[in-house]
Amino acid sequence: MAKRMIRMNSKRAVAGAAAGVALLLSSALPAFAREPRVNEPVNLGVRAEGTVNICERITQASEKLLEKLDERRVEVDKRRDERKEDVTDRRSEHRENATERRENWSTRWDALVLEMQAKATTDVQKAAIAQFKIDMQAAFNARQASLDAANSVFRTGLDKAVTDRKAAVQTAVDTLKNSVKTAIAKAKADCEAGIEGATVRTTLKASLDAAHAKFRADVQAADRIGANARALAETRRAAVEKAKEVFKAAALKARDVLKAKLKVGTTTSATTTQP
Amino acid sequence: MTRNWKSWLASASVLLLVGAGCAGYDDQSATPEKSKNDKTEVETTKDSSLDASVDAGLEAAFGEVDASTKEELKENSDAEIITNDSAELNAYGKAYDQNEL
Repeated sequence: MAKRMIRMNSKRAVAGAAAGVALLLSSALPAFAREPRVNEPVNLGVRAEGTVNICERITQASEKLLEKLDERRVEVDKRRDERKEDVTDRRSEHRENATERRENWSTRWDALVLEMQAKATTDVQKAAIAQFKIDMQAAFNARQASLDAANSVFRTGLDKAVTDRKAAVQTAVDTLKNSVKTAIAKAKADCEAGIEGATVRTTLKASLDAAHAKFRADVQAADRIGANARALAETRRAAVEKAKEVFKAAALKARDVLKAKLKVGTTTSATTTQP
Repeated sequence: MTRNWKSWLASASVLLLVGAGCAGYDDQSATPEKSKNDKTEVETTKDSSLDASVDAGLEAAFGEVDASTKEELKENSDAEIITNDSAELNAYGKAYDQNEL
């Protein structure tokens, strides 16, 4: 009897323990199955939790992104201002150097012509050298006029390119920032509307990618302005080289005319001094 | 004989004088000729020197134009300034990091 009693009690204890474990498990398991909740409305479940997390992340990331854009915008603007200053400084330096060079050469050329004149013995020779000086000056002037024209076209074109590039870059930069802002605002609105987090994120990424693709296309278009500027430089190079060749041809012609006159001058001089 | 000797001496003197005169004339005519040759030589030297000066002048002008052309072309690099903000624009375009979302 006593043994039966013991057996019955132990069966009850096991059953009780099993019931206790089952009770414990039934209350604990849902807690393990769910992710931690942040201000979760009662019935939104896992989907709403993901949305909340993504929205928080979007808020943080968008603040960072806008900060970065602002910081980098400062650098872009700085370079743009430097560009304008660089062009102005370099141009004025070039003008000063060119003027100084012309003045030095003018002095040297006058000395060279004086040397020729000192060696001329007849009036014919002296007149020939005077004409040579005039012809050479005309060649120098013609070259300078060609350079001035080429410089004018180049500088005007470059100034326009600087302005165009500034406008194009400004538009590209502003467009990107506005698009990013719009995309972030939409993502936040979607979050508030309870749209699934993954969808919000996908939509945001797509908008940001599109904004960046547009930005890259805009920058490429702005780079074409740089290509135009290089084309202007090439045109100027050709004009400057041509001016050099034209000058050399004119100078050689002037020299040949002079030498022919000098020869005649010598013959005339020899003939007149014959007894 | 003595008279003959004297007349011979007189004739010889006359001849000598005439000879000397002729020689003197020759000298006079020779001097201007030499001077003329010298002058021609100086003129020829001056002419060739003038020719050289003309060539030197032209060479200097060509040298100057070559150097000046090189200097002029330096301004062409201003065209490169137009895209001086490429690196900054590139950085601006990469401010967005997908992994941060």
